[in-house]
Amino acid sequence: MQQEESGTPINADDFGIWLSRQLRRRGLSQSDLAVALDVTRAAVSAWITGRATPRFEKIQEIERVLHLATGSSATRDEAPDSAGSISWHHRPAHADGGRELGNAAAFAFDSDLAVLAREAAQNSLDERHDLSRPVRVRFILHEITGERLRRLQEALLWDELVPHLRAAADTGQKVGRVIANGLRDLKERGSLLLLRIEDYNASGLTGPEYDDGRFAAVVRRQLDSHKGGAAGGSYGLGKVTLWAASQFGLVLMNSMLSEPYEGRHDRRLIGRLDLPWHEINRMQYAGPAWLGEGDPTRDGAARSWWADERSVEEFYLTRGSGDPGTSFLIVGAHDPSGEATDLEQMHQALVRGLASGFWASMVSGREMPPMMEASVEGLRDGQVVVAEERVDPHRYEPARTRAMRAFLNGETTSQITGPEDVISLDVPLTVPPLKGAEKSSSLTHRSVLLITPTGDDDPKPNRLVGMRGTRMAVLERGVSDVPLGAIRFQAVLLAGRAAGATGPDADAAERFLRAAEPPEHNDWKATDDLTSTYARGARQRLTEFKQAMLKQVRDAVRPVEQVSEEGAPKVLRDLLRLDPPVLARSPGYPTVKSATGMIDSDGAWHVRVEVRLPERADPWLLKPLLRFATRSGPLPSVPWAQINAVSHCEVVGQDDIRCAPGTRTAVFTGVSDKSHHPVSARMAGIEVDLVRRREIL
Amino acid sequence: MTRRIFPYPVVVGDVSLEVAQVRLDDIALPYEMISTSERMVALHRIDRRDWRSARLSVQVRAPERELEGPWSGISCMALLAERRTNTRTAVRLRRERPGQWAGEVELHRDRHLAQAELTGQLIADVDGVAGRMIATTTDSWTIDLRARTPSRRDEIKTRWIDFAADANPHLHAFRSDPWLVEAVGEEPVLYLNSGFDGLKSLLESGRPADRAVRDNLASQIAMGVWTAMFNAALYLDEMTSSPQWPGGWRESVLRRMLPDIFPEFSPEDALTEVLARRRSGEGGGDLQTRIMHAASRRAQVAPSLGALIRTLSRTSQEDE
Amino acid sequence: MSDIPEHVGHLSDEAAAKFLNSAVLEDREPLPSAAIDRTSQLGRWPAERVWEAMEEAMKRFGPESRTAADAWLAPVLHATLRLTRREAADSSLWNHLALRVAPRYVYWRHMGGSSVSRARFSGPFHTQTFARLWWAAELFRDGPDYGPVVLACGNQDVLNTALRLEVILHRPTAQAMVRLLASGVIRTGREVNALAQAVNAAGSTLAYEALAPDVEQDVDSYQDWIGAFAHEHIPYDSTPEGPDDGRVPRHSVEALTPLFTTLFSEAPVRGQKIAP
Repeated sequence: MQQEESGTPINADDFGIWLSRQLRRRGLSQSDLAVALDVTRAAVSAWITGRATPRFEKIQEIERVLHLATGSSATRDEAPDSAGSISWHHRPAHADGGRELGNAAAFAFDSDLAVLAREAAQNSLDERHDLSRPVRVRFILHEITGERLRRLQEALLWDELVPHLRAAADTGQKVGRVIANGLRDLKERGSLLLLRIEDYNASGLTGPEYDDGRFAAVVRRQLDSHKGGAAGGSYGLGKVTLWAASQFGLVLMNSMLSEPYEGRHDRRLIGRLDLPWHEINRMQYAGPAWLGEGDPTRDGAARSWWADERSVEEFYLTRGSGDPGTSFLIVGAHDPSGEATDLEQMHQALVRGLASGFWASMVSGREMPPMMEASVEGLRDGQVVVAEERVDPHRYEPARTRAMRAFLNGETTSQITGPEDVISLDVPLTVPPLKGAEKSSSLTHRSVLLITPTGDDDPKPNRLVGMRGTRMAVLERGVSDVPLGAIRFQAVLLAGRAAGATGPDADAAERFLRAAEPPEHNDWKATDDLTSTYARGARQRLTEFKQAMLKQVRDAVRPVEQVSEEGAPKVLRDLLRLDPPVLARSPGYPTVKSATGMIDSDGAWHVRVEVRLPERADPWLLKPLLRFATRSGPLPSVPWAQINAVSHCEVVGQDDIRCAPGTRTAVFTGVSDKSHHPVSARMAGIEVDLVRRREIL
Repeated sequence: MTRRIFPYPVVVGDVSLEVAQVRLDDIALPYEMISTSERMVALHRIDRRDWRSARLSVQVRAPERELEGPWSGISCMALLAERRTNTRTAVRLRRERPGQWAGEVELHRDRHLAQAELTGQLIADVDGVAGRMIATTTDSWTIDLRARTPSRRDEIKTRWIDFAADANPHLHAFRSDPWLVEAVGEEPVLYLNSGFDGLKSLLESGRPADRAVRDNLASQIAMGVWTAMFNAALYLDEMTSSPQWPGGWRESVLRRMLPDIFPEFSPEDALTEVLARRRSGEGGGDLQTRIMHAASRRAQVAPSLGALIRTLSRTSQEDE
Repeated sequence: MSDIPEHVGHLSDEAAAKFLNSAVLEDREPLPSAAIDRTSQLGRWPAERVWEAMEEAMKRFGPESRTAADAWLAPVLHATLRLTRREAADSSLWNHLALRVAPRYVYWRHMGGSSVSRARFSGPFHTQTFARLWWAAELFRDGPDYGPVVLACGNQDVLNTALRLEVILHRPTAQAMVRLLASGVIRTGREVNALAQAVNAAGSTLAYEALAPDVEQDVDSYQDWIGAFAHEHIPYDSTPEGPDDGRVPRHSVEALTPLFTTLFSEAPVRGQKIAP
C-alpha cells in the first residue's frame, strides 16, 4: 500500500472504495456525511468515485465522524468491530409460497467423493492464474473435537443455525435425512469432520458482490457457468458438489484475489448454507443463508467481508501462502454416496478421484511443468494422521502417464518395439460450422492418438481416454474387438488445445467438444448444446470422430503377423494339452516337507529331514536317498554312513525308515558316507528324496 | 533353489528376468512379438526370413533387501541356451542400480534351431569361494525362432492332411484311416485325414446338434493319442541303472499320466515302477489297463460319452 | 559302391524308424535305398567326400582297433561335412547319412554281438554314429585347432560321458578337461568319469562361465569356412584345419585347470566305481 509520511492517501480510487464501504457499514448515506462534514454532497460523491481526495484535515474529521482510529483511512484498517458485524442472513421464503426442498442442482449429480475431487480440481484448473506455473490443489481432511469444535461453532454462530438445521431436518425429504444424520453424528461422536479444498495460483473469487463475476457465480447463483477461459463449466453445475459433500449444506470460503476488489486482495470471506425450505415459529425461510456482513442497502443480505488473520484461523481457513486462490471449508464433510465412512477411506477416495480424473494434467514434460499439482492429507485435532500424499500420476496411471510424457517430450515413436514405447497417430475431427453460419466451411482438426503397452498387472487394459485443453479425462471407454495377438495397451486421445496445436482449428475443436460434453464431463455426445449450436451434421461428425479413433487404435495394435487358427480343432485342443500337471500340496504319497543340512569338519553332510505322510493304518516303509546336485543329467546318489530316527519313525535294516502307522509327520537325520561323494561336499548342493520300499511280505 | 540344500547361503526371494526389446539385425521387433506374461519372444516373421542375429535387451531384478548377506562382488549373468543345438551363451550384465542389471544377449540364427531358453543368474564370492551361484531366475523366458506369436503352444501338434495325396506316400498305407499319431522324434504329431469325408466338418462344427457326437469323437481321438504317446515315451527308456526322465514331450506325457496310473506313488516312484514293469515284461495286462484309465481321463471320455448317451436318449424319446 | 547319392539329405525320424527293423539291425537285410530315396528330402552337402572319409577310416583301422577310428574321423568328418549348429541339430541329416550314405560304417563301427543298436543309426546326438563325432569335434575344438578333439575322442569315456554334460558347452571348461587328459592328471576311463562327475556336480554351485569367461565365436568366419569347402582339400595324414572363429581364451582355460585338478583330487570317489 503506497502512502506518504504525511499519511495522505495518494490513490483516490482506493480511498473512494474504502470510504464507500465505511459509510455502508455505518448505515450512512453520502448526504449524511456531507452534512456532518459541512461539505457539499457533490464533494463526497467526488471522493467516493475517486475523482478527488479530501485534504488531510477533512480525513481526520471523517475518521472522527465514522468512529475510526486516527490514520485508519491511510492504512485502510477496517472498523475494530468488524467481526462483531458478521451474522447469518437467511433468505425469507418466497412470497408466492414456493418451496425448494433441496438444492435443485445437487440432484443433477450422483455425487461421491471422486466426483467432488473431480469438480473441485476441474474448477481450479479452469481458474489457473499464471499459466506458466501449475495450479496447486490441496485437500485437507480435519476431524475436530472438544475445545476446537466448540471454538469453531462459536465463530460460526452455530447456536443460531441449529434451529434452522433441525427445522430443515424435519422436512423429511432426502436432504432432511442427511441433515438429521449430520446432527446425530455430531451429538453422538462429539466430532466434526472438515474438508478444506484450497487452490493456489488460481483466480480466486474476484468480482463484485452481486453482479457478474466469479464471486457471484459461486456464492450467489445456481446453474451459472461463469465461463472464463477454456473452461467447461467453471463454477457451474460442479460447485454444488461442494455443498453436497457437507451434511449440513454448509461451506465457508476464504479467497485471495488475483485482481483486487474494493482495492483489496486478502482474505475475502463468506459462508453459504444450503438448506431446503423450512419454518421456525411460523416464520418461513426459503433455505439458503449467507454468513457475512449485513448489507443495509440490500435488506440486510450478507456481503463478504475482509477478515483479519485471527478470524480466518478461527474458521480453519488460513492459507499457506500469498498465492491467489480460494479455500473452501466443507463443514460436516461426508461421502454423499456413503461408501467412504472414515477419514482414511475418504483420503483414499479423494486421491483416487484426483488421479483418475487429472493424471494427464499432473504430467510434466522435460521442459513443461504440469498444469496441476494435487495433494490430500488427513488431520485429527491438529495432528497429522494421514501424511500429505502428493498425487503421483505415474503411480496410478503408469501407462497413460508414460504416453502423455512421451508426447510432451516429443519422444513418441512410429512403432511399438518395447514395453515403454509410445506411438502417436492422427485422428481427424471435422468441426461443422455454427448454426446460422452454414455458408462458412467446416474446419478439420488433427487430434493426437497415443498408444502404449501396459503391464500384465493393469486390471483394465485396452482402454481409450479422450481429453481436450484442460487435460481432464472426459471420454473413457474400452476398445472392443481388439485383434487376436495384439499387445495389451492404453490409448490416450488429445483433442483441441491438448493436441499441442493453437489456431482456429484447435479452438474450433475445443468449442465443439466442450459443447458435446454432458454436465458430468464424462463423454462426448450429441448434447442439446451441440445440436442447437452447430449446423446440421454435427452429430454425424462426432460419430465419425469416435469411430475413427477406435479404428485407429485397432489398426495400430493389430499384429504384423496374422495369427492363424489352423491346426487342432478347438474341441481337440483342450484334450491334448501337454502343460505340466499341478501337483497336489498334500499328495497321496510321502514327501519331504523340509530338509536342512550342514557339512561337518570331516566333510560329510549332516541332514535333518521332515517327512509329510498321508495318514494310513499301515506303516510307511521308505528309503531316503541322498543325491548330489549336478549341472545337468542324473543326480548321483551317495550312501548313508548313518541314519537316525528322530520322531515317529524307526530305522529298519541298513538305512530304511519305517514311519509309525497313523502319523502325519516323521523326522530323521542322516550322515553321508563321504567316501562316496562325487566331489568334495562343499562344492555341490544336495537333495533328499524318498523312495517307496516295497513292503516285504 | 528351493528344495536343494546348498553348502553356503543363497538368496531368498524371486529373481526375475525380462526382455524389453528385440532387434532382428538392428530392426526392432514389434512389441506384440514379446510377451511378458507368457515370458516368450516370437522371432518368426514372414517378411524377414533371412535375419542373422537377434539382439535381446534383457533386464534382471532381484529384491534389493535380500542381497544383503555374506556375499561379496555380486554379479549377474544372462544365459541363453538351446539343448538341441548344444549352444549355451553366457553374457555378463551391467549393474544399473542395486538389485537391477541389464544388458544385451545376442542370438545367432546359425547357432539356434527352434527354442532357446533365457535365464538369469546371480554370482558372488561366498566364504572365500569365487563364482558361486547364489540365485537363478524363478522363471525362464523362451525365445522361439519358429513362432509367429509369443504364446506357449502346449498342445500336441495337429495337422490336417490328405492321407491319399501324392505328396504323402508314407501315409498311403493308412489312407482309409480317419487319423493317426506319430509319436517319434522331436515332437509327436496327430495327423487328421482331410480326405476322410465329413471328418473336418464334424470336428469343426459349431452346430449344437453336432456337439455331443463331435465331443465324443474328439475324446476318442485324444484317447488314442495319449495311449500312443505314453507307450512311445516308455519305450525310449535307455535302460540306465536308475530310471531317468526322458525330457521333452516324452517327459511331459509321463508326468501328466503317471499320477493317474499310480496315484499312490510319487512321480519318481511311479516312473521306477512303470519302467520296472516294462523291463521285466511282467504285468503287461495290468499296466495296459492302467494306461487306458489314465488316457481316458486325459481325453475326458466319461463326460463326453455320458453327454452323448443322454442326447441320444432324449432324441429317441422325441422320435417316439 | 556306385550307389552313393549325390547329396547328404534328410530322412525324418519317423521314416528312419520304419526302415530300422530287426533284420536290418542284424545286418541280415540291406537297407532299401530306393525306398529311402523316395521319402528323403534333398540336402546341399555333397555326399561323396563324406562317404570317402568313412571308407578311409575303415581302411586305416582294423576291426580290432575300430574305437580308435573315432579320434581320426571326428575332425575329418567335421571338416568335410561343414554344418552350422542349426543344421547339425537336425536329426534327419544324421539319419540320412547313416541309413543311406554310409550304413557300412555304422555296422563296421558299432556291431556288437549280433546287431547294431537302433540309436547308432537314428538317435540322440551323443549316440548316433556320426552326430557324436561331429559334435565332439565341434565342442572340443579350440577354434581352428582340432588337436583337443583328437585327445578327447581318444578316450571313449569322454564321448560316452562328458559329451552329454551341459558343462562342456562352455568352451574353457571343455578345454580345461582336455588339458587334464593331455597332462596325464587323468588317464583311465574311470578317472575321466570321476572328473566329469566332479565338474558336473560342482557345476551345481560354481558358475564356470563367470569364473572363466569365453569370447563370442565369430559366426561370420564360420560361414566363410563353410563356403570355402569346395576349394579345399582335406588331408587324411595330418589333422585338418578347423574354422577360424576364435580360440578359447588361454587365461580362462588356465583359470579352470587348477580348479578342476583340485576338484578331481579332492573327489573322494576318484578311481572308484561311481554310484548311478
